Amino acid sequence: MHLSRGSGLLEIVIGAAIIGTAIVALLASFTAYFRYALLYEKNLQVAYLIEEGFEVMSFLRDADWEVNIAAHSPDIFFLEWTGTEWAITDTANYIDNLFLRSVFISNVYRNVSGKISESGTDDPYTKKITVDVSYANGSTAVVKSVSTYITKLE
Amino acid sequence: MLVYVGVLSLMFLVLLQTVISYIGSYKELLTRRAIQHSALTAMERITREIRAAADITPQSVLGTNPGILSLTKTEGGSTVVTKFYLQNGILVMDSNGVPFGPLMRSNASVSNLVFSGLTTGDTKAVKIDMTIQATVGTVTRSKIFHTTVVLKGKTS
Repeated sequence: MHLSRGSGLLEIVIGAAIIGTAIVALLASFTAYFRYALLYEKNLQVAYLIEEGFEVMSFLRDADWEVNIAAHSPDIFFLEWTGTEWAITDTANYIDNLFLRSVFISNVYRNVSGKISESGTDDPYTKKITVDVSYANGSTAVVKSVSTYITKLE
Repeated sequence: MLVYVGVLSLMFLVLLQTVISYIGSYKELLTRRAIQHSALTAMERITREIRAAADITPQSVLGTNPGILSLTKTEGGSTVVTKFYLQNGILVMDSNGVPFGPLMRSNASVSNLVFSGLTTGDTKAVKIDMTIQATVGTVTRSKIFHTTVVLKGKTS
């Protein structure tokens, strides 16, 4: 009789442990899945904001290389949509109160072979553009950064 | 026996609460997935067509919601007019007047769509501001997507 009661209690403990572990595992995996799903949504928005950064710089290059590109190299600035046109500004402006996009233009150097290198002769007709988009994800800041080169049109 | 029933009842309640919570979260995920898929489909198609376009036609409605974007490009020697507009809140596309169909999921819609045209010299660009909204059950969410694309197509 005592052995039977003991066995019953053991069944409860083992059963509770198995079900409890399964619930905790399910919760953990679902939470991770949910977190990545939310992150993907923001990353999608960020991808288009970065693409926009490059396209706007390409548009501003066509508008005036000297004023919009050469004069800002090297420089970090922000892009501002005035409602009718894009403008370069030193004032940080959040997009939808969430994303902060900055643009960094740096000089490009070429070695004796004419290839882009860390040092060498400054190529005044080529600049390196880096677009950063950052946003807060909980208590941490996420920064996505992409770089490309832009050249002056003839 | 009483302890056994008590423990099982408690565990059943916890499990029930977890399942209810999961269902709520799953609806939230479905809503966000509908927004993501719709945004990806719509934005990719619009940006690709803008990039391939040579010009923006006067039929476009720019700078206001709901916007209409009408683009021209040359394909195989003939001019193709591609148009993006809202039909009952759904973003649709047609090519030379032939409907292509909706560019988003059935449970998603566009609550704000503004196309803005930019010109400097020979270069033209289009800025897109689109708010996509999706509803699953009682859960409704919306997200704003922005981008700008320079027209790179040739007139002939």
